[in-house]
Amino acid sequence: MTEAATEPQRPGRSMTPLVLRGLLFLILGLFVLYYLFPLFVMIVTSLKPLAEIRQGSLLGLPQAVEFTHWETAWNSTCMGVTCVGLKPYFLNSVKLVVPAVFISTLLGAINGYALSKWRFRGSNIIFGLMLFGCFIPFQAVLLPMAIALGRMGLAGGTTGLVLVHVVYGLGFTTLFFRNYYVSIPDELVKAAKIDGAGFFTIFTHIILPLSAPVIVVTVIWQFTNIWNDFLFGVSFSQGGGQPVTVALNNIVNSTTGVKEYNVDMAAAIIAAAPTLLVYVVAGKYFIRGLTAGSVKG
Amino acid sequence: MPVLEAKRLCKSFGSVEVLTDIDIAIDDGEFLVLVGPSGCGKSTLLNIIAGLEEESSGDVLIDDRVVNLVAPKDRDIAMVFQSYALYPTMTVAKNITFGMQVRKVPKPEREAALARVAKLLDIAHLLKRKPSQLSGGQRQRVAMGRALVRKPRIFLFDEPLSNLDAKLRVQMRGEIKQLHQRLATTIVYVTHDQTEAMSLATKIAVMSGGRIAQLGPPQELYDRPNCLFVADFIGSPAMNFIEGTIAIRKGVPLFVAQHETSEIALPLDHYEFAKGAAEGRSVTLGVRPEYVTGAGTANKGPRTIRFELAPAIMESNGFDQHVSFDFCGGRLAGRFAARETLAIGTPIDVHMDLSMISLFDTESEERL
Ligand SMILES: Nc1ncnc2c1ncn2[C@@H]1O[C@H](COP(=O)(O)OP(=O)(O)O)[C@@H](O)[C@H]1O
Ligand SMILES: [Mg+2]
Repeated sequence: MTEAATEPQRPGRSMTPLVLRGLLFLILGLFVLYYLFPLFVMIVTSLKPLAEIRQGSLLGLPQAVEFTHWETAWNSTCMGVTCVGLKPYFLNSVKLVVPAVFISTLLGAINGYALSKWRFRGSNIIFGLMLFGCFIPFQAVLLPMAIALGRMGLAGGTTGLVLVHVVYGLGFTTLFFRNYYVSIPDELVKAAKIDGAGFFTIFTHIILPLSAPVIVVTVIWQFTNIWNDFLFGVSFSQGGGQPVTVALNNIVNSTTGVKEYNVDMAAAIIAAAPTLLVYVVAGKYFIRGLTAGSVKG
Repeated sequence: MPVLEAKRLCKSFGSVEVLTDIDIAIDDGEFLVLVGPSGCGKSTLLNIIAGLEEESSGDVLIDDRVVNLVAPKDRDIAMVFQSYALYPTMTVAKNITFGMQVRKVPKPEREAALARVAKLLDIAHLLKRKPSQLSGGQRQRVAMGRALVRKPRIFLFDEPLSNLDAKLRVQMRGEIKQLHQRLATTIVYVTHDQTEAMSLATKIAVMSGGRIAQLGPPQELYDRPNCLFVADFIGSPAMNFIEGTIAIRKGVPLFVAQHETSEIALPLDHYEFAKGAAEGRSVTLGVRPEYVTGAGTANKGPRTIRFELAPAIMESNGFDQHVSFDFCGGRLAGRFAARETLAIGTPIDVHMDLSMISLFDTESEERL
């Protein structure tokens, strides 16, 4: 053993890891290309005039770069007879996502706090049921949700859609926060109780200030899911109140006559931009938050 | 009138009983130490006194008032935790004043209290730091400060020194003792370290398996342990135990044991039996190492017996030597003067002073 370790390394031996490493990067590179390829095609296509798209190859770089399709997609492209572009629907999504993410994250934090630091008889059962909620497929809740929204008089409006997303997201947000809070020492809460703090004072003064990593994770998760949602959007909203994903689908599907690939591509990129942006900006916090462990005193 | 009382306190987690019939009463200004091996229920008992854990049955009384249903914040207590439990996102100053802030104490009063505690514990230069920027000893001080800033009826400490290194632990122990003498407050203090218990307490409760094995002043526990467990737990180096039987010859009770081929009979006429000496009973005799000495040690009482034994193990700490002998099928440890020249295997005179022995029933492990 010691003999072998001190022996000068033979070339054949030291080459093996290098070759393996090269192979690894080759495979990774292929995957990167595979994933980047559609994005590349989308961006290139969105900048080409229609004529060029029809003649040229899918991969060719645009000869004449035109940003006008982006403007068309944003301001004036048509779905059916209305030609207002993606803009109002994009704003719909913003108005939907912001409150839905905020409320579901806040409620998840309070739930997680209560379920980890104020255990009560049956709290584990409640947590189990909430977890179960995470695994119910969208399709299964469509009909009951529609009936419930109808009874509450919230059918077809943004408020109703916010409610749907909050309820559906609560299982996940509770799970995230509860698992994070379990790693915060109970003695912190005990000390605060003796100091005279109650449920919400402890939450706002002790627990929330420690929650930045898990808040980032939850917000990214919820934002991505709600922004990208199509099924709830198409089921529970109508007309001018639809979110951007539904609008995108309508635009792509309803172009009569010439198919404007460049505009469609621009619209698709606009619709996907916020989630991409969130990952680029906060992605590293996402990874960090997922692995964040206990709190050091 | 006792400040704090526990009456027939029991606690179960599910089907596991962790505390059984705990009875405690302490007076104003007393320093009660709950001591026992890890897992014997000390923290649970302290948490129940604090109101952080609910008792399964029995009562907790503070100033003669049953407080079972009183919230921790209204029990007029302060607590120092083993992990210190400092609020990680707050500065030291905020950590200490958080309780007063929650209780809406006016700002000038808070600042005055903070200044008083900072001076008392010598942490004024740390007030602006976060807990993560403090050393272990400094965190410990801050944790103490958070308790001392209010003037509660009772202080509760849960192993506050166990995360410190040995030297700091002894220093902080001295400071806690001094604080207690100066502030004359009532303290309940949990530790698994019997040295800490002996040096701090005015009263010790030795716990074992969720029960209080013995409750009393440190000296009483040391001199008259009421069971084998307490005898073994208190004192370092530990008490020697010798197995034997009781015999009565010519009206004098004797402790009889077999050493190698000969019989050893130790007179017990001075021993105060709780229920009289029963002949033929199997007993365990306990004698502390400081009563097993050499020729050079002066203070030998009239009840000293001499043996000739050869040292088997010797350890010196500079002040004295701890010497072990093979005796009656077990080990007998004694303390010899540092300057006595001893050699392994060379027989010497060993003097055993019987005036402070303890006798236990081998089967029930109770004191006789
Ligand atoms: N919340 C709990 N649930 C179940 N068992 C517990 C709980 N807290 C403590 N115990 C058990 O009670 C016993 C006493 O614990 P504890 O009071 O912490 O001991 P000590 O402080 O003396 O080391 C241990 O066996 C421990 O496993
Ligand atoms: Mg403990």
